[in-house]
Amino acid sequence: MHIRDGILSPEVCAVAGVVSAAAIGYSLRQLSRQRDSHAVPLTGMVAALVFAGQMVNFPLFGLPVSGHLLGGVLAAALVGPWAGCLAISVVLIVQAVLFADGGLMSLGVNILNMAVIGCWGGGAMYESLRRLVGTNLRGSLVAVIVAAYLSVLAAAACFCGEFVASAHDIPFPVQPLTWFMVLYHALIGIGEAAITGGVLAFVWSRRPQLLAASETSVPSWRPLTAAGVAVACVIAAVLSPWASEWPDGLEAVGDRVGFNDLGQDRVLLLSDYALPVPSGWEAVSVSAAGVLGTLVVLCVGWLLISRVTPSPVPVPDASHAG
Amino acid sequence: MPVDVAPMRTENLCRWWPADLKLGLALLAILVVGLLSPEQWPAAAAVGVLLLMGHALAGTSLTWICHRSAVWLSTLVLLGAAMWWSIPTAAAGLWLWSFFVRCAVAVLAGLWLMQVLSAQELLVTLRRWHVPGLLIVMVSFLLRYLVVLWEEHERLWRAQQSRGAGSATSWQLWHLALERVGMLLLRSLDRSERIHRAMLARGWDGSPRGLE
Repeated sequence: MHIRDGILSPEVCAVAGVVSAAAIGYSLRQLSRQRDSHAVPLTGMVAALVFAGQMVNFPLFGLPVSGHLLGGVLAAALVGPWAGCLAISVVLIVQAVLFADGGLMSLGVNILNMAVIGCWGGGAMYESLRRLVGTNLRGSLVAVIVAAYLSVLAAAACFCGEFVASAHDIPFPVQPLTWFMVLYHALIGIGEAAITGGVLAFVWSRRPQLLAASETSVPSWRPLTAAGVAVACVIAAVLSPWASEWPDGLEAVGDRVGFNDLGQDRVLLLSDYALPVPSGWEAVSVSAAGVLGTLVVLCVGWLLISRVTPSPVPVPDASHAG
Repeated sequence: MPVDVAPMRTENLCRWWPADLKLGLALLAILVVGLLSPEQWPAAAAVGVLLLMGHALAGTSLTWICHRSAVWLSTLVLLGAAMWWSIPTAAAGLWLWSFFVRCAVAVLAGLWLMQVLSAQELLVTLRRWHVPGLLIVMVSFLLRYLVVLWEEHERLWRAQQSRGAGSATSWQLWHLALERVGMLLLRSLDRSERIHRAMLARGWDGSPRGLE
């Protein structure tokens, strides 16, 4: 999963670097706010552990390739998303600079895919699933296994997006690459989920208080949501003008079968992801349409969730009881 | 430690260059080849030749470079398979060739940096570049305790082998590996507790300090 230099364009690396730097800064701020001096050596030790874990590659069911632990969800489950994000970032910095594993220019991309998505996204998924299925051992195991598996797929999907944004002049369709990436990482995800679940089960059986202690560092969903919306807006604003001009899978099939011309006059607004602007401003138009679409989807989603979520039951005041 | 580092030679002439210069040169080489178009691949190859000269100055063996470069072959195999599926054209062939050259040069730059930059130089450079102190402390912890953890892992593995892990089935080997990682985790958490107490005894207040 370590992306090497030369694969992605400098522009994409620069944007991902800025997003990753902001994520590291935010994580450092959150960690400093906890005022727990133990967090620094603990994060350093977890980083060393993940580094050692990433050196052990596991075979992929007889295929001539191998995978290794990403460790984002494991770190988030053990020390929380902020310290976990910093631990994985530190691992990636040392691997890139001192061990030539992963690129220097693509360091920001690697941090975004493995540390930010792995720990923030995977950690949020883990906590949400735990609340859904239960915080006992069984619930936690199900949550961590699913979150670890999905975090690998999310990182692979992000790479595909970054690759398409980098190589917008790529002379062949990128769908096969996407399929290969998803299939390959669907197998790696099994190893990641097995290792993460196995380690968590072992820790639970030997030292359950460690996992109980990490629950205190569960973040509120509000900053996570705000960070997610910010990342989505940045991607929509900055990367969308470089989107590949090749048709997607459905359009390619539509071209071949001949149903692409149907329904073209039914577009209400933002036709082909663009706002009506003067010529020469097409890139700005696509960015603005991307941000607008993201915000509209957010508002609709928010509205739907607020409608279907039951309002909290009022707790009777104990002083009036009896 | 299974990290594949070439043996350091005494005639490593780049070792004494300033750390900022070494990092800057490696980054510049990667940036330049990244900005070149597919048609300009000979220029990228020229940068690669310069990097090979840098490797010669650092005293790196060609066998080691070839061995390490083989790591990213899986990416190329993946892309080649994707292109084969997509009915390749001449333009696609040129794109893949320039992609190959670009990646090779970037790998050469990374390997050169690995040979000429020490961990101590990295920490000093990070401090000079005003990287947040907490992050530098975490990097120093990682570098300090990585070796300790790996030795711990070796001890655990030897102990498991002496209890008959050598004749285990592949399913049991997976189980033993998970137990090893879990045990390593518990021991590293215990060690972090001890380090924390020692740091508090020496006046640690949460703010990073370096030996100036």
